[in-house]
Amino acid sequence: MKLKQLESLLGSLQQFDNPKIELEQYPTGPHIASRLLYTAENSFGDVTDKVVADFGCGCGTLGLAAALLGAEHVIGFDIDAESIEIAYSNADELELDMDFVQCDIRNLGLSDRNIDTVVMNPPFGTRKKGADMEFLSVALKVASQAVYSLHKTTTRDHIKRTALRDYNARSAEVVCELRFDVPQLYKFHKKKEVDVAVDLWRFVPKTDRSKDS
Amino acid sequence: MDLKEEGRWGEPKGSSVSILARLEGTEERSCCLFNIFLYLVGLSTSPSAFCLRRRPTPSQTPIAAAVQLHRGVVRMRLLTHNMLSSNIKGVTNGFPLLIEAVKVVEKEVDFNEDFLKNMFVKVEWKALVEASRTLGYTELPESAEASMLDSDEFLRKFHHALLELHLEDGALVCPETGRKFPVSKGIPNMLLHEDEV
Repeated sequence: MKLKQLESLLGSLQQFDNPKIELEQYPTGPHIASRLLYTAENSFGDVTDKVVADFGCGCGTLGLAAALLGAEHVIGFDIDAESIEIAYSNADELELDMDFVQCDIRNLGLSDRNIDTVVMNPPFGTRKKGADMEFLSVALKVASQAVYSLHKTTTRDHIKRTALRDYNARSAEVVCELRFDVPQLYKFHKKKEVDVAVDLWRFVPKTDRSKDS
Repeated sequence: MDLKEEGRWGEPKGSSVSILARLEGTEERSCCLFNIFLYLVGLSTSPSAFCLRRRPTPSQTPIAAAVQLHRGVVRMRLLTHNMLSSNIKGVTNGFPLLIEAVKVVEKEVDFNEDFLKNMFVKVEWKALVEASRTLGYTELPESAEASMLDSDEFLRKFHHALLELHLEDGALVCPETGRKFPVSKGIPNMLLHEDEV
């Protein structure tokens, strides 16, 4: 599938009806989502025939993009039943198979054997400090191959340091810098639309887990 | 209703749903023509005003419900079950979760031999066997080893158990505490209560 095709299919997905600010629900735009998954597959072979988990899947954009690129089994994890409902109907609309689990990523019991790749657009932690780091920590525990994630460019050094030192990452590289369009979703947004600079990261977990807790 | 979507439900031609859809579509089209006519002769301010007024009539509700039934896709495959465990505070071994099956559905998916061979070393075989039995599928052998992957028959069974059996309604049960995590419409709710974290 071509990048443009992927982007336009993702553009047809339904997004949040009533976004919840406490969960920092911002839709992952088709531009960013298509590039994230396209890079993961074409540069690193982390998607096709793999088991892919979408953490904080929201309306399912990243997970469905993975399914479109031939992931064998995709699971979306989200705390919010309403989001899963939307993601579910998005999957139906595209006639794609995707499993869902409603859970809090922070206290989820998930084995570290089966998941190859985690893709996520975590809460950036603007409302609840460190929320993105909690997601990253869990993702690096369960993924066996790679974790793709978006984080604000302003936090770049902190993320690299923490991932390598505390979170079981063997490598942490910024694949590219993107603009995240934040539409005027919430009342406290004063400007009509703003661009936030975000990094697309690729983390590789350490394969030897026996020494880790 | 978009007529182009017809047929995606996999309904045989002439079934009640598609006939209804067709009828509704015709009605809507003639209604549109009528609007444009009104608009042209100056009786209406907008070509779509009439449509806006007539939209939510009670007679259309059953159609929507029927469509839902046909399009509802079920999911929680046993591959997902194979990686979930109960993470309640104090529980030392929350794997595998027991299954209470209320409704089980099967759905065919493409067979991918390489994927199965990769997964074989990763899945907890015993948990998969138990889970598939709870869902009424008894073909998997009690124990399995890599040499069995040469058998097409074995791979087909493995494929079916792992990817084609869905728990649609029921519960996952913590093996230590008996706490139930409900599964509804194929989605397990693994949220913990405050005192369980």
